[in-house]
Order: sequence, then C-alpha cells, then structure tokens
Amino acid sequence: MHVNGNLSFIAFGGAQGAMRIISLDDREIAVTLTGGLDPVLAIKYHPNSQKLAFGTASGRIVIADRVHSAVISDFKATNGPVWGLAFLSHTASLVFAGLED
Amino acid sequence: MLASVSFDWSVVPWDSPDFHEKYRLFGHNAPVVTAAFLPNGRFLATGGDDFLALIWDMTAIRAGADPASIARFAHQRKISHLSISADSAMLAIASWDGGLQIWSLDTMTPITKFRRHIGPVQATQFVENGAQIISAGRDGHIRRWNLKEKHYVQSLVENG
Repeated sequence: MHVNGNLSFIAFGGAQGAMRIISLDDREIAVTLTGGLDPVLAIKYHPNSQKLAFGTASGRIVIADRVHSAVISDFKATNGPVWGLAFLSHTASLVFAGLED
Repeated sequence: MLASVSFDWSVVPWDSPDFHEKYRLFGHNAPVVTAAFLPNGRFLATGGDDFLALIWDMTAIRAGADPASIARFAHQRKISHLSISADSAMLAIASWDGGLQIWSLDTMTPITKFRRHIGPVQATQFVENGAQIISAGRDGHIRRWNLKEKHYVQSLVENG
C-alpha cells in the first residue's frame, strides 16, 4: 500500500495479483490493473508525478500511469521476488530490492 | 539518499549519486524488513523481525561517531512496516501483533495504539498532514484512523 504525494489516492496490491488505486476521499476505485496471479509485494509512487510502480513475487515490475489508467511498462526485473521499490527524484531512475539466488 | 535493509540483519545507507557503501549498521538481532528516513534526513528509522524499531543518527554516523542506534522501540511481535509523519514528530509502526502503534519522536514515548485489524498489520502511512493515518492488514482491510481524536474512522477497502 502506498499513498501518492498529494495524499489523495491509495495504491494497493493483492495476494492474487490485482493492482488497484482508490480515491481516499470517496473510496471509489480509480484504477484496476490485472496482471495475472502474481502476488504484489511492493508499491511506490513517483514523488513528482502520477506514475507508480508495482513489484511482484515473481520478479516483475509494472509501471503504471494513474491518470490514464494505463500500464507504461511491464518487465521481468529479477528472478526472485521484488521486496522494495524507490524512485530517485533527482533522476529518472527506479531502484528495486529483490531476492535472487 | 537511500537505505536498504536485509535478511543478514544489516542496514546500509547509500549516499547518492555514487551509491557506494560507506557504512553498514548493525543493531537488529534478526532480519530487517523496513526503513524510512525522517523528512529532515538526519535520522533513519528501521524495523525488523526482532520486534524492534531503531533510530539512527545519520549525521553523527557520517561524522565518524559510533554507528549505533540512538533509540529503540520494543514491540510484541515482528514489525512489518513503519512510517514517519511529515513534521517528523511521529513514528507509526505496523506489527504482526495486530496493532498500529504511534510513537512521539520528540519524547520517544507512545502516543496511542490502534487495534481493529484481525491478524498482522502490513503497512501504514500518515495522511491529511498527519491528522489521520491509514493501515493495511492481512485481513484485507485498509483502515483509516483519526490521530487527533485517537479513534477509528472507517474501512477504505474491505477485500484487498
């Protein structure tokens, strides 16, 4: 679960792979992304935009745009689970922490 | 600034832009699972499977001081996530004990503890400029709490 910078939208993921964003004001679902049955382990909003990243148990990272309800990028980042994500605000970089044997 | 936490019980702060490991912080007695910098960047909070949250003074460590934690908060079960209020006054700790504990970082004393989730609390974040806080639990709920009046507000999500 992560709330975006202006604190109005909560992103969360489920054990069955659903990635959702709801409005904190009215609790309405703003975005639902279905990415299979891959549990979501990490979520992080970009600090200066409406983009966010989801990390999954199988090593996928999904970058989505909340405003356009669109997946920008969906790629295999590592062979193990993605435990953590961080956007570096001074660059266009995304850092992830994972477990890879 | 970035910090990584590990199953090897260590915490590594990474200074950008080179991201070289300059310090490795030991203080937890089990895997470390969560970390957050205070907004002022001076302090780092970490939490782990040893039921502890530790506070590290990064300014002192960078100046060559002993890389030991300066404060610790003990819980009854594993700590799964922690969050810092925007004014750096409060630390929220989500725990497998089913509670959401709020600590004062000014006095290092507990402010309140919220209980409503069934089972572990997995994540937490301050909202509404620190007037409220939300928590996500393994019970599928994302819950909202009023910090000023210290009461439960509502479930935002019931089947997450």
